[in-house]
Amino acid sequence: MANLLLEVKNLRKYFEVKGRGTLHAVDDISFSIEKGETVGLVGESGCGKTTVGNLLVGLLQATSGEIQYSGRNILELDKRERKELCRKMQIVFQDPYSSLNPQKTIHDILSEPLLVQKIAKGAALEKKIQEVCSQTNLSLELLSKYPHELDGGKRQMVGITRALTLDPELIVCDEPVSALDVSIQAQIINLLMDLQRSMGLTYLFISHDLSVVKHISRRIIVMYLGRIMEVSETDEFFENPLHPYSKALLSAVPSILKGKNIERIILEGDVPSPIDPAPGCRFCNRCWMVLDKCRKEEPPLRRFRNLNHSVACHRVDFA
Amino acid sequence: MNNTGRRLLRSKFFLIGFTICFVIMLLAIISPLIIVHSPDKANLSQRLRPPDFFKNGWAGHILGTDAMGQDVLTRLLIGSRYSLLIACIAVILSGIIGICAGMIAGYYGKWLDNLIMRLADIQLSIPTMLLAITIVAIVGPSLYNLTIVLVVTCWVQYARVIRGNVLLVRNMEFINASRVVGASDLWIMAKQIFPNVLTPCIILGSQQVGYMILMEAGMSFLGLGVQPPHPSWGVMISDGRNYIQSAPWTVIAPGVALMIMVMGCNFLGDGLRDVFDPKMKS
Amino acid sequence: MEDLLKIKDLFVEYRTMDGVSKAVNGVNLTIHRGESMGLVGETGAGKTTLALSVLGLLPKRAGHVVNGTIEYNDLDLLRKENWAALQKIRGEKIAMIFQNPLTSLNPVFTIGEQIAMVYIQHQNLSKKAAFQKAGEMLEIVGIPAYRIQDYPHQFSGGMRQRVGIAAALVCNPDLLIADEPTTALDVTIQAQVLELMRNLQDRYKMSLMMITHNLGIVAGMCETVAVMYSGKIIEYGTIENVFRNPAHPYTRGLINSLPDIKAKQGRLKPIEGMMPSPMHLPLGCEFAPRCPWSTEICLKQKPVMDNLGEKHQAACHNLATVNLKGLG
Repeated sequence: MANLLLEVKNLRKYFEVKGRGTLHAVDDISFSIEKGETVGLVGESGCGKTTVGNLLVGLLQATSGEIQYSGRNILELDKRERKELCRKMQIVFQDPYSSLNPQKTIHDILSEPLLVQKIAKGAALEKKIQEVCSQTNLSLELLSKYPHELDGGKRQMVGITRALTLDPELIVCDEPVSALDVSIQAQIINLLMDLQRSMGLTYLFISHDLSVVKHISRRIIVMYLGRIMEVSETDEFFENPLHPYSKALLSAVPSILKGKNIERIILEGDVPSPIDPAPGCRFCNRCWMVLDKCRKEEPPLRRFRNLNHSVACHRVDFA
Repeated sequence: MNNTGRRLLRSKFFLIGFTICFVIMLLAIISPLIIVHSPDKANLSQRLRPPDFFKNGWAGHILGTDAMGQDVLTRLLIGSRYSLLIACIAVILSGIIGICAGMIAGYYGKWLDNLIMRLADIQLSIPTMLLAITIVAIVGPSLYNLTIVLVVTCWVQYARVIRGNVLLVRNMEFINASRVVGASDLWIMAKQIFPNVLTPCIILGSQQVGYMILMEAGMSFLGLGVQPPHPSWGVMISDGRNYIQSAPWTVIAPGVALMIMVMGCNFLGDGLRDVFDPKMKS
Repeated sequence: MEDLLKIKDLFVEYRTMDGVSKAVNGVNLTIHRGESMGLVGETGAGKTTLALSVLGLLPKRAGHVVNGTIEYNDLDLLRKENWAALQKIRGEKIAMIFQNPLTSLNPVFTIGEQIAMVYIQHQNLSKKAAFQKAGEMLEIVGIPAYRIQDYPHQFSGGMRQRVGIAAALVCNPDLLIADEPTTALDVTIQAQVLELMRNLQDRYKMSLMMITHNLGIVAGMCETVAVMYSGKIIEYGTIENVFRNPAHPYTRGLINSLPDIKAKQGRLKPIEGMMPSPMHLPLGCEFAPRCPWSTEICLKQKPVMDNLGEKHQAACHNLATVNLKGLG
């Protein structure tokens, strides 16, 4: 497909934990993102979604697998090529407080990517900064301020503006609104959606908040303990979730439109440890539909009927 | 930043310390221009004269003379230049070494961190004076060698403090943000981490100046530092120790000067820390 | 329904080096026996301050109750004379669970010890009897009793929160105040803990004050809701009334700005601006600077709670115009 921007194949990231074993943070996942779309990556803590984001932008080294960006495997690039790739893929971090250097002015924070990549200096730099600030509607008055003088929402806007300075194609949004107040979340979500429309950006939107992901994503990937459980188009997912974990997840999300006496799926127990996981389906110890087969054999991700909807579960009727 | 200025001005420690240091620095700088007597020419006819204070105005021996007939006040002023010069150079050099060591240890961690910290531990376990005497015994006493000894013994403080601060900052997301735009390790250390650890450097530096002056005084007292006929406070105390009973002013003057200077440095350091540290914690 | 806790005209300030922060500005709230009430609002609205005031847990040097009464069983909990009585009520009749399950448990005591302590202190049981009961309590909240000897760090976040709930329910309190109890938990764990709280509320017939910024949680757990803004309650009523027909512009704005899993939403409509700093509150209505319906009187005069019908009140000068325009 000419439209494919990112293709992840059999990506794995393992950490050695001293004295305890191997932590399978990301365990053989494959997915793709088309140009201009927003893919939501959801899951709870420990599912590996943040690790996936970090692997894409080069903050972590993959243990094995391929990440194809515009046809090239970025895990095989040399240092110089990898540095160039930074211009194409950027990231917006979760914490607006620790993602900006408290000793630097907003101007310096926004200049840094341009200086590091040697794209612009002096007058050209100033022009670029003004340009990118106007795209996000960041007031130029804020340039001389320090991060602690700005509130959480403005700081996150700075983070987004910084991500745009290098004119990237793909932006990994790692829980960009989770640390913000509810009334500011809407502003940032709208900003991200506007930018996508006006600049043709592609997003990998990582979040644990299904309500936000539903709003912003066209497709959704559900992760659990380092594996992908379900991939689907968003509307289809919310109407017809196939994987038991997805059903439990949707049932657990609070909503003011849900009545009080609805059927709730309450999972038993906690998420097991990702260290040296047992064979079989990762979800089997909490699943209410578990069979013997589930404990022995790990279900592969299979396409459901002829839809753009895949699920990894032995209990789903694929006919 | 305006706020910091105001807080600094409100801190009594800072004001007193800064004033003392500033005055002494100023005197040290302009001393060659204001002295009346010669600092290093002996005049045995005038030896061990008690202080005139202001009986003969500025031309007299305000603080008396020493065993070689030299004016104590003059030697005090000129001696301050040597003491302060050595202390400042030593602080700056040991600072540079210590900061680099601390940054590398804190940023890269693992074996490099272990190596540097073990070196620091070894350094700390050797008594300073013993080390100084050993080095000087091998290479001979001189100003340069004295400075080297001071640097070698004092980089450790910096390294430890900086390493601690780097560890705090290293995992912050803005460091990751720099990595993601392609910044090299050197860039990150210089442009992102260093400004965040600059403050403890300054505080430590101002405290170290006092410590270095005392060290220099001690070494010169032992004959291992500044050599005659050049004056330094340590040399003056050393020269005067035979005359504590008969001509106490030869020892009291440099002793009090030493005390005031070190106190000033400590106050300065305390004041800076009180203003900057709470901000760092928040 | 019988009145259980009556908060009348409460004003609370924090006095710091940087100035006076007016955290609670005239709150009137009544919780009835057996009622589950949600207290919603954003960060800085004053919800936690309100909860802490009930139990006398405001920070000693900075927190000051400037005015008002909090009556429990005809006893004003804020008066100094009633301090001894408050000590007894706290933990026994009115209990509280906090947001961060990690810091609200003491790391050097086992969970058994921490629950038993409550029995020993309030019910004067012997150590043996207290541990016995602690084990039973743990089973009730879904933690196997054999874990009674484990330390807090050996539990996950969700389980720690259950321990907190167990400790709170030891004396079968009349009222449980839960301050953002599930905010730090994963969604499926949150569902477990909320389900547990629902069951326990049924079983023990206690009142619940659920403090959260998440409207969905309140909709699923509570009968009534009070919306807080800048230290005031600006709307109060049943869930149906407030969420289906929000009267106050802030409540409307809030509902319109939140992505909801069940809603078909186009573009979100954020509320412009920010909550005013509690150190510099405006003269008139606190929400006026951000309100699309504000008029002159809003900037000058603070509105009072108006009755909109059965169990629905809101504090706004322009209720009529706001309601005519429909939702959003």
